[in-house]
Amino acid sequence: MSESPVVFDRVTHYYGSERALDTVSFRVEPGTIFALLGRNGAGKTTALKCLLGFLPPTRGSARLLGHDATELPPDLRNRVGYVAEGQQLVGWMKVRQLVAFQKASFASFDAELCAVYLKQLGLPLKRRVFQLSRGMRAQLALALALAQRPELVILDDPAMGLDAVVRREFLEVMIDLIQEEGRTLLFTSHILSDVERVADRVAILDRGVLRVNAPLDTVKERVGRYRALFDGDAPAAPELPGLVRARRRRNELVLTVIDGGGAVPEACTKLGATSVEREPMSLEDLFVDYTSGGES
Amino acid sequence: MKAVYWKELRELAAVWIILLVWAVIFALDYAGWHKDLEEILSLATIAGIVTGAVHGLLDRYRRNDLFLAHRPLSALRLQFARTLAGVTAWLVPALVFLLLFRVAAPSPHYVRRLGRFVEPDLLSGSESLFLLGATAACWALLRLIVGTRRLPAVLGLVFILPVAMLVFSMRTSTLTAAFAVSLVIALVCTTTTVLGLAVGRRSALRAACLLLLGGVVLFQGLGLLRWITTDLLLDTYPRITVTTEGDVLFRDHGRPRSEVSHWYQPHASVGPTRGFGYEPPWEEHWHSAWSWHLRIVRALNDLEEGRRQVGLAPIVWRYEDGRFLCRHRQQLEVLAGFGRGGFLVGPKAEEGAPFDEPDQFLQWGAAVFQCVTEQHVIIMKPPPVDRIPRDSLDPVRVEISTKSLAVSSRNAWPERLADARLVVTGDQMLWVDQTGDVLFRIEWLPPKEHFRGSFSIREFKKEETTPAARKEAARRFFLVRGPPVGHAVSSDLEPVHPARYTVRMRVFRPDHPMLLKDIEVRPERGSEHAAAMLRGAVTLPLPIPVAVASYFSAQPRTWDDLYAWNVSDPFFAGGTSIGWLLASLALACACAWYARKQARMRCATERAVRLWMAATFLLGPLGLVWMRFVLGRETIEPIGGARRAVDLDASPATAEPWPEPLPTGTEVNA
Amino acid sequence: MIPFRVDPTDSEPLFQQIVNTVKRGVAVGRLKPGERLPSVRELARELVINPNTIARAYQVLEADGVTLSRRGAGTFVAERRVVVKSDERRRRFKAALEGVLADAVHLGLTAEEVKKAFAAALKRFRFEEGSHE
Repeated sequence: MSESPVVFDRVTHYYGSERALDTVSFRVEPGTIFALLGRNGAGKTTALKCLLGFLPPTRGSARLLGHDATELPPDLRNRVGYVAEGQQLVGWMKVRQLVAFQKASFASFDAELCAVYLKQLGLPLKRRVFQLSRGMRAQLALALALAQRPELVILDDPAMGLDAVVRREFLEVMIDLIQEEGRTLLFTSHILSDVERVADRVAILDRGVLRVNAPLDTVKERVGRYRALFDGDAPAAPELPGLVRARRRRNELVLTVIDGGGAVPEACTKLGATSVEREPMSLEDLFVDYTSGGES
Repeated sequence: MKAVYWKELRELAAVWIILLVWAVIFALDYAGWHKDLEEILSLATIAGIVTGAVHGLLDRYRRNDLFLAHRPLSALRLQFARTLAGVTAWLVPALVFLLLFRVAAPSPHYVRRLGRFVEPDLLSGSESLFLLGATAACWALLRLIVGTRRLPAVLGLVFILPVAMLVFSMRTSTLTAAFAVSLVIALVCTTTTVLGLAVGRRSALRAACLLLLGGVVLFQGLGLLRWITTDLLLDTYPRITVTTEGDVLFRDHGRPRSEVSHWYQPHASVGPTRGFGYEPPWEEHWHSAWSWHLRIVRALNDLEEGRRQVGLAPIVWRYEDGRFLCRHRQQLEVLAGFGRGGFLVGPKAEEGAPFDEPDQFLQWGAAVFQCVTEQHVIIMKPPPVDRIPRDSLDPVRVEISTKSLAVSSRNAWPERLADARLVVTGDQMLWVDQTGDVLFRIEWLPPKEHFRGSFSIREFKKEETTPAARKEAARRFFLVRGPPVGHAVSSDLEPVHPARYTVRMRVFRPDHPMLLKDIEVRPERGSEHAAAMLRGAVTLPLPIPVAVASYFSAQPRTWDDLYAWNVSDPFFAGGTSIGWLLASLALACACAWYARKQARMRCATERAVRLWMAATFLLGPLGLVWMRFVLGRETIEPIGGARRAVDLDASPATAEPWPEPLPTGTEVNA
Repeated sequence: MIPFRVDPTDSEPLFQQIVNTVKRGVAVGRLKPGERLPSVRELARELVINPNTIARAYQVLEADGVTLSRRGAGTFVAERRVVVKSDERRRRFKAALEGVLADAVHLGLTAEEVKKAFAAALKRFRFEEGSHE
């Protein structure tokens, strides 16, 4: 069995005395879409930088396509497509110059495929990159990364600031990508509704700590939101194992609990709840509860 | 790599344009106003350094670095591509500069004699290459240093520091320094590549190299500081001390120039005056000869104040067997002399070529007076009716005719000129014998404004009387022959005691033993004390063993001791005072304490921490820098979780597995 | 063919939603035996969801005997056949029924309303004739 394309093994990183990642371990299986989620500043970009060899981790190691990230052979980068945060490109170049630049750098660059992408996206070849709209730049960056025919595609917040149409197009591209044999996709995003559609596995980073690392379905299954109604003011939340978040509102107590199927209704009833119901919970709800940091 | 190179080159377009404009300005400026070549080269080198540093800085803050970095190109090659692009961007304007220079400069220019390695014609060969090489090298080096911040940076600093010292102190010619830079850059690049590729991240070899480099940088830097403080010290002692010894009066002006006067007849003496006074052995021969001293006085209104001297050029002449010998940069050169053909100048003086060939005189003038000359010179001799009063040096009253003159080759000249004086007044230079007869005159026109430090000699078309005006901005040359008291030399001694500044005077008199006088100048005012203190301060960051050795080593008793030691090692000698030694120890302790803190965060074992503490105590600040480079900053391996607020002393060290964050019970791992 | 719709924000896993959609479709007769279901790729494209999800859904359907996949040809609705033993069937149905009835109680429906809804639904679905004792 060959190694997973992306392996994080207890990666810890400090910026000076500030801890950005705390013993983060996960792996991405080939042929899957992995979504790394987290609030701004949770450590997602740091993790990706460690993975791509731009930042040596303080402790632990990240492995990319079987190689230690701090000693990546330069040729390996041919097999990895990467779109950095903010759609960084070379502003003064014309689109076709940029394509030529990428072609010259990457051995596996498929110019025809790139041309097809560009046509599909309707990107004008003669225009300079800085003149393109943000959405077009993002699409261009993605097209360039995909034209390499990479085994592994890493996208750092690709949909940041893009409109719904472009985002939907991105999703479609991701889906097409994953159909092909052996391709893997790792991305970070804030648009959780998009993540819900396409992610096989999700991981949630909360202040450098990996709190969730499971298939999306499993997560949704195991994490439940329960709403307990009380006659008078709602009491303080009961001590429950696996309580992620508790919110009190007048006569309501909303609890987000892991594996709380049996214990929650019981505990609430003990406190005097008149009704306890499990509510449907989207990934966004789940994420907010995980990362908002405590009781409110 | 090619793709990146072209991209970088294109991105430097703005830089190109600026450099091109700069090159054009430089070239025209030089060609038009004939600036000092050395100055131009210094400026070019500095420009290279500055633009290289700026480009390196810009590099560090590039926003699309991740995009650029993620491609199948090693980091080293990426940097080289960038540097090459920059060097190209620099070379093109440099070539333009040279072309323009060649076109615009109307005639070959003589340059100050720079060592003896350089042909006077700028564009004939090596100089232009040096210029290119020096500036491009400085640019590339600085760019690498500032942009990459790695081992090449340290290497670069090591090589560039002494060169910079040389360049800016003008101890050697700029061109020689530039040549050194150009040669050294190849060495730097090779060494950088080898070290960077071959030596792993953590290896003993790398650590040793770093320590060696650090030591060199430290000593270079301290040497530079010491030189600066010496100057500072000298500048802070503006006093005149007068002592007498027998019938010889010693007058020390505090500045690095002293006077030794006889009771009744002043004469000035010259000698090496800066820093450490080393006197070449041939000076000993001078004590029985007449000493001639050439003074060039540059100032307005100095006709009234004939003795106000600004910008003295210490060239000592000696007249011997019909030849004028000039001491120039520790060599004796034959500059002019009387041969069978008359008064001869230049290196051909001994061959007897006639004097009225302009070339020879030009060479003479150029070498002696450091002037830039033009084509023709007229030598004139007034009719014997013109006389200059014997004792008067006041040229205001002298009216001089300007008729042309033919050089005579009378054999009587050698004897007569043994006692001749050269008097320069207004726009003429006169050779005057003891009776006041003007033997011959050399005339030139007032110098052009922009010929700084030079004068020009031009064909004189008209014949008219030119009275020497009072407030002319002219140059005055006095060649004064001293009376046969002897020869005196003064030199500064390195202060044996940090608070005292000693000048040693030696007077050589015929039929007398050498008179030696050491004048001590003690600091009186606060600023002088401070300046004296500064000299000791330089020894502060020395490694402890060196500081201790310096303290315990025998203090130099004589000037000769000091010289010998100063050449071999400027720091062991010098007798550090106890105060500074204690201060060094205190600094070393502080460094060791800080090192302990840092080492505990970066080292895996307590033993390593203790070793680093000891090393830093012994090496001082050098040790701290070394530690930082060897241990690095990014690969911090905290032991025991200091950053998790675990007590550092209580937790286990070594490479035990890092504890996982405490589970909160809300993890979902599947 | 039935319209496929999924709600990614729902608690129910996406694959489960698809499985349920297909099962319901077959049960009400809108998906006939032998009818070809859209390919994984097509459906992923249309719904804009991960094809792995759809693949998983199809696996579950096949495991449950609702569909059959033929190499190269696609996934087809299977002929109805019994794959589960009667005891198991009854147990499963009882569990599902109790779930539904519990919900009805919590929603505050009366027994009458439940019976009415039940009767209406019975008419819509197509059941097997006879019993499989």
